[in-house]
Amino acid sequence: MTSIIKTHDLHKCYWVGTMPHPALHGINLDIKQGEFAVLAGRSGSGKSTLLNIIGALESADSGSVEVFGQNILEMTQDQRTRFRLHNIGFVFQAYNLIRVFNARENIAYVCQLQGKSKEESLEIANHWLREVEIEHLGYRRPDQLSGGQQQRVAIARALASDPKIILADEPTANLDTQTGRNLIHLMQDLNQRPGTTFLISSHDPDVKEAASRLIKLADGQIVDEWSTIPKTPTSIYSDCPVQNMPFGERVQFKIKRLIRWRRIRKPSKKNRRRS
Amino acid sequence: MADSARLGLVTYLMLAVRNLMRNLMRNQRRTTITLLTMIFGIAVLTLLSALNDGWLSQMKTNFILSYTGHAQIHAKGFEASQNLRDRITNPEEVTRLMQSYPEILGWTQRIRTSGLASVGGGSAGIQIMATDSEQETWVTSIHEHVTKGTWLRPGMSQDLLLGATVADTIGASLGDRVILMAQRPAGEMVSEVFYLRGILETGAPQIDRTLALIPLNTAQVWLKMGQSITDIVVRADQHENTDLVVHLFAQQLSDQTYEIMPWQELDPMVRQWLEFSDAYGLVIILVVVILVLVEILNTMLISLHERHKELGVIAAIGTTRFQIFSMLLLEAVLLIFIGASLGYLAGSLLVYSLSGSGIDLSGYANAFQFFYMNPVIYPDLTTDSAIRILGTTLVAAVLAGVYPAWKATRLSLSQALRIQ
Ligand SMILES: Nc1ncnc2c1ncn2[C@@H]1O[C@H](COP(=O)(O)OP(=O)(O)OP(=O)(O)O)[C@@H](O)[C@H]1O
Ligand SMILES: [Mg+2]
Repeated sequence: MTSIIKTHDLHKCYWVGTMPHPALHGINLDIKQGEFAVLAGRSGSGKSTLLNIIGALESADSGSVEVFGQNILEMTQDQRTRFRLHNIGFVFQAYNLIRVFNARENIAYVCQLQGKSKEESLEIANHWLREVEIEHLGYRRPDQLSGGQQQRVAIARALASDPKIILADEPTANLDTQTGRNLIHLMQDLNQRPGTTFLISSHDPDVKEAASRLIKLADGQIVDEWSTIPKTPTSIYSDCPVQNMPFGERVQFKIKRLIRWRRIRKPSKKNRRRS
Repeated sequence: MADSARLGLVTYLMLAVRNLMRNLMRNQRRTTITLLTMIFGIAVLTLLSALNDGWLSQMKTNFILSYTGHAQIHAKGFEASQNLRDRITNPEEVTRLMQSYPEILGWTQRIRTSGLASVGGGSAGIQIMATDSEQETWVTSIHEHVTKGTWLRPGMSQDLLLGATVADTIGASLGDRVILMAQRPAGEMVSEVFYLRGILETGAPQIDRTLALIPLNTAQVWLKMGQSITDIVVRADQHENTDLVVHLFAQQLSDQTYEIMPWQELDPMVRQWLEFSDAYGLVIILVVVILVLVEILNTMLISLHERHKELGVIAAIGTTRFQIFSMLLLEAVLLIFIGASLGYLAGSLLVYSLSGSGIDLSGYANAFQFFYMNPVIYPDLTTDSAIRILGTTLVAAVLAGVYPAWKATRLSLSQALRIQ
């Protein structure tokens, strides 16, 4: 099988002010076409971060991410937007539908973004509403739907753009067990019939069970077993070089250092005379 | 690939309108206050602007009709020298042109020179204006400002009218013998006896303080000027045709012999005053518009903050930054458009309700006793001011919309998507 996602030695730090927080530490990942892969790991282990980087929503500090052979880290913002529009479907934990659109319009919106006519877009939306088994609810707005129904709309929206990959960040976390299971079945079904590749992050044991492959993440690294200690211990200083500090923070940092330096190097005249 | 990422205008509009409606509904109080502020601001702006315009046009009319006319033709250099040496010796050359222009409502000839008036013990410097008693009424309304006595009577060669303040200063009353002194073009000083027949009160201090009005024929004989005159005063059919009339004369008359001046150039004080009032009107517009702008900016920024997550989602699923920018800009412009239209409507209704009776400021009449002002101001809603108000608001809308819209394109996606 051809691999469609390939990451190589991926590193990512977040900066809170001038303090670095390492989130990913040397991720090497290879996802093959048609997989139903699940990312598992404790809260804060970097699942969302990894998904966001693969989905061209965020940038990384170093390493490479190839999706269909294209290095998405080298793209400009607008190129990434277009890349997402045509290649990737997103499903989020909090559904994230457009509140002013009804279910059908939410799905049709991505088709319209792709340049399809309104009629064609609504046609596609109807098709996917049928696929996720809520065709009778197309006229309802998100706040008139249950969580499970909203997540079905979200999946339909993710699929409507005809993407090759669906990235789902904890899609069942806000749902009760039974609704969650139904959703997993739906996703498995969609994975098997049209052959869409799924990469899902989840704590949910049901999701992990459904996985064709389980990827374990701990402290920003992929591990074989939960018990194994990460191969390389993360270090703030080697992982998060100061050069990577965002511009605003770096200016702030430099100013602070300057003030400190002046205080040390230049005592006031009064003090100098006294000493 | 770029062309495939297009979004129909209808979708844009739909999103913008629905977002706006939603914000109006959800944040009833805040958005309502914003909208009300805007309606109130624009309404007040409309009214103030109409008052200003009404006041200005009254002032302009008063100024033009009480003395100056729309344009004057002099011998070249007269306005600067005010000397009878610079006189029009062949007025026929100019006056024969008058019939050919329908834009000219009337014209008159005058001699203007400075002199001295004395009666009994009192005397004062004056500005002598000699004019034809009938022709003058075609051009100005100065004859309507006779508050005591009569206007110049045809055939009465020694009739004299004085400005109210001059008469007061020298202590002259109706029927008194007044001696006027002036200089002939050749330089020799001469005096002549006149009889005070009327008192003029125009409300313009520089006229009331200096004017001495005598018949044109008398002056021509007295000052040995033959057929010569100093001013030909023209009245156009409407203020807006002033420049046209000036232009017509300029085409026909040699600029070596004549100077043709529109009313604005004849009294720099009035022109400055009008310019000042215009600037003042602009300042009002600016202040109101800035207030409205800040209000809108504030509302848009708060709503942006609240929608950080939603905007993040829209961007995540493939909406380009330009599309997001356009959506938010459209939303701001729509909001301002609604507010401005309602505000302008409210303002127009206010103006309309006041245009019958006007605003009577005669209680403060003293302050309005100068500069050709009427104590009752009639607001006047001109297309000019409408364009100015709505145009400025539109620019403000775009300005107020651009920053939040630009900001929306800079929102961090990763942070937006982590908001629960
Ligand atoms: N915008 C941010 N700024 C700073 N630190 C961040 C930011 N986003 C994430 N982090 C940090 O990066 C690390 C990884 O976060 P991430 O959201 O990827 O974890 P996760 O595995 O998805 O957790 P969860 O299961 O709770 O969703 C965490 O330590 C988190 O505190
Ligand atoms: Mg997460």
